[in-house]
Amino acid sequence: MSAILSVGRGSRRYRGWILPIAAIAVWWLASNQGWSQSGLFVSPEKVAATAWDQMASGKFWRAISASLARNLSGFFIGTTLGLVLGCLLGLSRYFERLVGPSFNTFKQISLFAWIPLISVWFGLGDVAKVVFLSLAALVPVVVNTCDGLRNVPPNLLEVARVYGFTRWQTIIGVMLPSALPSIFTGLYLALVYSWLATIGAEYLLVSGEGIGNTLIDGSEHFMMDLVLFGMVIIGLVGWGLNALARTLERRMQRLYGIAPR
Amino acid sequence: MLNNGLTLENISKRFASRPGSSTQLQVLDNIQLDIAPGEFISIVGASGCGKSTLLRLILGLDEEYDGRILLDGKPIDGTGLERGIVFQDHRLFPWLNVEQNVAVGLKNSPLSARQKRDTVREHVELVGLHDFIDAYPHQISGGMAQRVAIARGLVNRPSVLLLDEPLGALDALTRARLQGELQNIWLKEKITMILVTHDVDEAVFLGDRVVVMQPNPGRIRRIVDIDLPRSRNRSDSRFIALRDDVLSDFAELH
Repeated sequence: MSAILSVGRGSRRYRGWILPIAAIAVWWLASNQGWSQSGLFVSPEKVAATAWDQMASGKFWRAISASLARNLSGFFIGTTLGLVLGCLLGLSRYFERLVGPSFNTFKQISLFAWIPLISVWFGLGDVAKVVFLSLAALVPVVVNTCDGLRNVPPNLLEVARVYGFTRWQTIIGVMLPSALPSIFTGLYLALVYSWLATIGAEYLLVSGEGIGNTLIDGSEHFMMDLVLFGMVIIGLVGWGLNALARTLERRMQRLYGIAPR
Repeated sequence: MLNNGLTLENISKRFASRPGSSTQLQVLDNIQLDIAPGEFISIVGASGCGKSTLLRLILGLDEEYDGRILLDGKPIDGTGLERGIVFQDHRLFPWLNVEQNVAVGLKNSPLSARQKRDTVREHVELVGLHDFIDAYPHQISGGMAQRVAIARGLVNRPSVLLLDEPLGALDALTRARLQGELQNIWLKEKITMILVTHDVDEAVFLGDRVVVMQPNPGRIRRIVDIDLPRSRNRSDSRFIALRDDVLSDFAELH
């Protein structure tokens, strides 16, 4: 009985693999049996061969490093500005009244609606892309930093008053640490959004190298193997960034006693 | 007239019944109390009698009231390190460990870094938590967290320690043990303590005097001297008689 149960428990971990493996199996079967004669229907083997070719020729490495460099520079610029703006909004009533309404209107504008303006101002090159990415990373960081600082428990602020904390000591010693989980949520979202926006920027501001350009090349030349390879890579990088952020977030939550150990 | 101790002169306090409303709610009405240095005062009363509000005024968190609060003959001005507090919820900072949480009390004390460290350690030992000095609040029990809060309240060596139902959220066994510990700390440190509680047994067990308050508006009903030697025995007939006497005030109110 217990053996059956333990098998059940062990298999549960791998249950998530069933669907993708089944899909690849059906795909492979379909292409091997010749279910479709369309030139746009490629076999898994062809995608694997293209993947190998892309890596061996160095094209893939140039594309991925261009995309990641863009992604990270946008992420750092956007989060840095976002942290500054979020802290000012969260800490200063005056600044909040001055800038808050404008920011709240600004964040309602869909990110992609900025593309025409950005392309006119900054062209289609790396500068334009990084500006777009920074914008994508900025908004969640501002919103969550500001919320975290506004929602510091009043009980803890009273403790600071009892022990005569100055304004500065209260900000550094109570408000920022208390807001840290929320600030981290903002950084996490920024990391995820900026990768989504990287592909969007490469696709909409077409020029130069990047994984998004790999997709465009594939689709322009009807090379579905290249398109599929690009999609797999985009998914894997997204998954990796997500996993990295989750690990850091869990570690921080454990320190704060938020997540169960 | 006491000139060093805590004096409450004609304290009255009103709240607007609703924000922005002109109708006022009288929360405290003409509270008069002289507390000698080193005295243990227990304040009991039904909820709504203003006992916790009174502590907030003494602490200096709320400065809008009529009357005067004098400490050592001088009116208090805002919060001050000579007045410590233990709240009902421990209010420890979740991102600091036990030692760092106690050290919060000394953030603005004039002691040197070394003296601060020694004083913090001393107070962690005083509440019996030296084995947990590196633990974080979520890793320790509610009773232990409340002891850390007591250590934080004491670490400045305040002349007055205010206790706002500090044991109210704990289970009966832990509460009884901490009442004993609180008494030992008071005997050792010889500072003034003002305990707000709704537990009459606790008030009589710890207090030199028990101040009974009643609501609408919050005022002092009477003050009962507890003239029993320490440590007190809860099954002593005199203890029981005093406790029943105080309890009778509540029976009439209902």
